[in-house]
This record gives sequence, C-alpha cells and structure tokens, in this order.
Amino acid sequence: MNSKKRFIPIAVLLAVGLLVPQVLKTEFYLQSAIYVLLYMYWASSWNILGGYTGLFALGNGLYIGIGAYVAAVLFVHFGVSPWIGMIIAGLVAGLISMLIGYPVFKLKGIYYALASIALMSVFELIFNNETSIFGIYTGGPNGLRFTMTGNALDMQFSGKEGYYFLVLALLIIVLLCSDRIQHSKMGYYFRGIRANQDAAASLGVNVLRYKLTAHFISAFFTAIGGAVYVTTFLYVNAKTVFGMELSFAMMLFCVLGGANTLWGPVIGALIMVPIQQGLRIAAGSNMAAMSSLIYGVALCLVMLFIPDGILGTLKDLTVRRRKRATDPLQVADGAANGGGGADD
Amino acid sequence: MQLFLQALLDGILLGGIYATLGLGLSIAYGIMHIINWAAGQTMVIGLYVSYLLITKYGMDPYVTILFTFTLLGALGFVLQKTMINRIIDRSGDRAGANVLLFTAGYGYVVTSVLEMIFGTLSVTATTRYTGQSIAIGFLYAPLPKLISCVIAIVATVLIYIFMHKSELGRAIRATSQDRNTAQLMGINAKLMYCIGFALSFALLGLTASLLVPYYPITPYIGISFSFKALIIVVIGGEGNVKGAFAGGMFIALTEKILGSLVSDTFAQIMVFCLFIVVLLVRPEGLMGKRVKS
Repeated sequence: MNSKKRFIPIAVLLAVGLLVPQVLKTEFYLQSAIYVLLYMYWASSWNILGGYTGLFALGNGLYIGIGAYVAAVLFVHFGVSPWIGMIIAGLVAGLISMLIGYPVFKLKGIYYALASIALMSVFELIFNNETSIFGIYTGGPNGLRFTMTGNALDMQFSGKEGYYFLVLALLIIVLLCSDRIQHSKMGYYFRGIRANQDAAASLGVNVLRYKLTAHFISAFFTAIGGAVYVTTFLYVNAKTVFGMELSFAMMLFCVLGGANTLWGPVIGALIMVPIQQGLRIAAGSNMAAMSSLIYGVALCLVMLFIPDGILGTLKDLTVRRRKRATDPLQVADGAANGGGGADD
Repeated sequence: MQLFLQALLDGILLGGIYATLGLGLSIAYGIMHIINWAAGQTMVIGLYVSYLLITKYGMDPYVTILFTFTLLGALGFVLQKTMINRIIDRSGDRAGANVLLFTAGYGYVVTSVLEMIFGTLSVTATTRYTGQSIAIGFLYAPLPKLISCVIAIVATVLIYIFMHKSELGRAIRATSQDRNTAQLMGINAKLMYCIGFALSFALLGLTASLLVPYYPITPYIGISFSFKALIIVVIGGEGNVKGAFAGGMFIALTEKILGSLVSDTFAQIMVFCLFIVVLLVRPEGLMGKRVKS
C-alpha cells in the first residue's frame, strides 16, 4: 500500500469517532464508548510489545498501575496537572520498563510471562499494603482520591465528552505510532525478534536494544492510558490498576483481533467491550461473573479455533486462496508448516 | 524460639499440601512442557465437590478423596483429549503460550461458573476434626492439618514410585524426555499426554480434599493457588517429583517463617522476588538438572 492510502482507515476511524457522541447522548453509552476506545488503546499499546516483538507480556498492567499512581501522586501531593502528569507517568513507566527489561531480556515465552506477572504482583502487594511509599502517602488498601477542581486544566471535565475526545485522540496517536513502527526498519527488527530471536541476533540485530525500545514504547503508552483512566474516576486503587483483570483484558483483545497487525487490537476491543457492557445491563447482579465468563469462553475459543486471531486467520486464508490459484502443491506445503504468524 | 519452631511446624504441615499442589502442575508441565494456568481454579472445583459431599452426605473429608481424585482426573483426561491436544498440534512453537492462554480462559470460566452456583460468600466445612489439635511439647498441630500433611506425603511417595517403577510411569517419563523416540518405541504419546494431564488434575482433586477440612472456600481463591503452584514448580524444577516436594516445602517454610517473624505481606513479596531471581539465575529450578543445548 502506498503511504497515503495507509492513513485512510485511521482517518475514517477518527471521523466515526468524532460522530459517536452526537448519537450516544446518555451518560452510560458514552461511558461504554470511552471504555471501548480505552481498551482499543491499551490493546494497541500491548501489541507493540506482545504482538510485533512477540514478548508474551502478561503483566503489562504493571504500567497501567505505575502510570495511574504517578499521575495521581503528582496531582494530589504536588499539584501537577494530569496533562503534564500523564507524560511524566509515561516516561517513568518507560524507564522502569527498561530497568525490568534489562535483566529479563533473555527469558523466552512463558518464562518471560511468569516474570512479568510476578513483578506486577509484587507491585500490587506493596501498593495495597503500604499506606505510603518513599514517604509519599498513597493510601494503601483505601486507595488515593483526587481533589475535585472541575477545571479542564486539571483534566476534569463537566461531561463525559471531554474524556471521550481525549481517549479518542490517544487512540489515534497510538495507531499512527504503530503504523509508523510497522513500516520502519525498527518494526522489521521487532518482527525478526518475534520470528526467531537467535536468528535475528545472528544477522546483527541488537536484540537487547530493540527489546528495550519495544518495552519503552509500550510502557509509555500503557501508562498514559493508566493516568487518564484514574483521572476519569478521580480515584486510584492498587487492586484494580495492578490487577490481573486489566492485563489479561488488553492481551485478550489484542490476541482475539489478531496480534502483530495494526487493526487486530481495535477489532478485538470493538467486539468484546460492547458484549461485556451489554451483559452489564442484562445480567444485573451476576454482572461480575458474567463478564469474566465471557472473557474465559472467548479466550478458550480463540485458542482452539483461531490462535492467530481474527485478522491473522483472515490473512492466512487469503494467502492460501491466492496460492491455491497459482500452485496447488504450495498449499499443502504451507499447511504442513503450520501457517506461521500473521504478517501485515 | 517457640515462635520460630511453631512457624517451622506450620510450614512443614502446609508444605505437604503445597507439594501435591505443585505435583498437580508439575506432571503436566514435565510431560508436555505446557503450563496449566488454572491449577488453582481446578482445585477449587475439587473443594466444592468435597464440601458438598461432606455437608450433604456427612462423608468423612478424607473419604471424599476417592471422588475428587476420579472426578477431576476424568475432567483432565477429557480436556486434554478433546482440546489441549488439538492446540498443541496446531500451534507449533507457540504451543506453550497458546495452552497457557487457553487454560487461563478455562480458569475464568471455572471461577465465574462457581460464583454463579455457589455465590460469593465464603464457606467452611465442619467435620469431626474441626477444632481438634495435638500438642507436641509446647507446639500445637491442628489435627486436620496433621492428617492432611501425612496423606500428602504418602501420596507424593506413591507418585514417585509410580513414575519410576511402573511401566506406565516409565512410558510417561520417556514421552517427556523425547516424544519422537518414545513414539518410535511404540508409546502412544497422545495417550500419555491425556494420562499425564488426568493425573495432574487428579492430584489437584486430592489436594482439594486435603484442604477442605480447614480452609475457607470462595470461588476466587483459585488464582492465588495457581500462582503458588507455578512458583513451586519453577523453584523445584519442572516435571520431577522430588523437585515439587522440595519446592512445596521451601515455599511453605518461607511463607510461615517470614510471616511469623516479619509479616505475611513481606513473606508474599519475598516469595515473588525469590521466584523472579530463580527464573533469572536458574530457570531449570533449584532441583532441576541443567541441560546443555
């Protein structure tokens, strides 16, 4: 695709996104739309590390938590506006992710996943049990409340629209950035590491450096999302932001839609979040159980039938159909090799 | 000193349970090199089955082992036969990650279904062992914990003998060492996978029956046990019975001793840190053999 055509889908998404608040007038629907966009954003951030680079980062919620707490502490104790706080939060999370990425970079597959989730649990335990960290009050199990100012300069809007447009803008930025990565040399290095780390290293790719870069970018965006997330609630609590639920959700949406593709995370969140929100109305008191049931069933089905996700599987099918048209022998060959991963 | 010795005793009593819990993960991990992310949630199914048998039929908690062992064993066999084998076949070198995600999904399903059936409140089975304890010098050992620990150790020894002396156990270990060669020797590798996974689940059922006399049950306790099982297995070394036993004891002692000397939270944090250090420094586990590639 030539470089200008590539941006048409993103422009369409922006246009549709701008129109949505004109249609969804009630608070509940707008809040649901914010969730859809936020999860699209988080899943896309995860995709940079878990998709393109292929690191099985199950504990990426760590950066949501770090972003949330950095922004909250800066605002509550130092009066720094979340507009600046979220950038600082992103940078702090990025630096921490590089500090973490350095020792664990040799771990592959599930071992990496275990290390990342264990680290997240350590943070959860600390933030949930200590009421102050480095002498700064963070509330422990009670969480930390934001001071209400109602001032847009403090990222506090009177209606939901403000947050909606903010998250939409973040999503567009992360998509543009992902697109840029995909078509850059760095993106090819990321995918090289995904396909075969040792082979990439032997061809002169500096694996450590690119893994750290992927960590930084992914953590940076994830943390900004975390900062915005808690600012919409004016409240941060360790069990939620460092919890397994958010980490698994962003990974699930990305894998469902198709990891290692630009639009996979967007499609995954677009399918799952409305289902979950719909059940929230339908199931009433059983809501919590229903939404995790849906997550569970979706994850099982995806792994059983379309482990490459929706987009990955569609691409695989088109490639096979094209091959069948030209050379029937190649189809059998491709099937025997197991299809590999999706590629854009 | 008394505090320390009591913590030591508590640690040993808990360690037996952790050993069978770890084994319940370790066997499947050893054979197929896959991680069952839902070991804890599976165990919670066993807890509720056992709880129902005790409260509805007045069954002795240790008799329920027969039911939990067979029921979960059957569940494991069916899961492996109908689904996990399929995922392993299709995923190539991403099998580990894909099975982990599949079992994570299955874990969510188990937790939410249990929540819909049993609600969110915690229940504890009352048995004839409840409240009884034995004094050993100046130390106390609650009777159910003592019996459970003894049964757990006996079970671990039996599994060790089964894996090393029986024909089936040898076949399972052969499959885990080299699937292709094992198949050339006439071993049905897929069947071994099913048996291994069934045995894993059955041991989780056993663990559930050992916990039920004294552990409060909610649908949500599974995930923390899943994580604990993983830590035990990684620290002990994958797929070997001795490793799971050593890992279980080690983690239980760390938890209880640090918990009584400092605090439970500190103990948990140290367990996680220890886990990360072992992953980085000795990913084959403290008891595992280093394989040169």
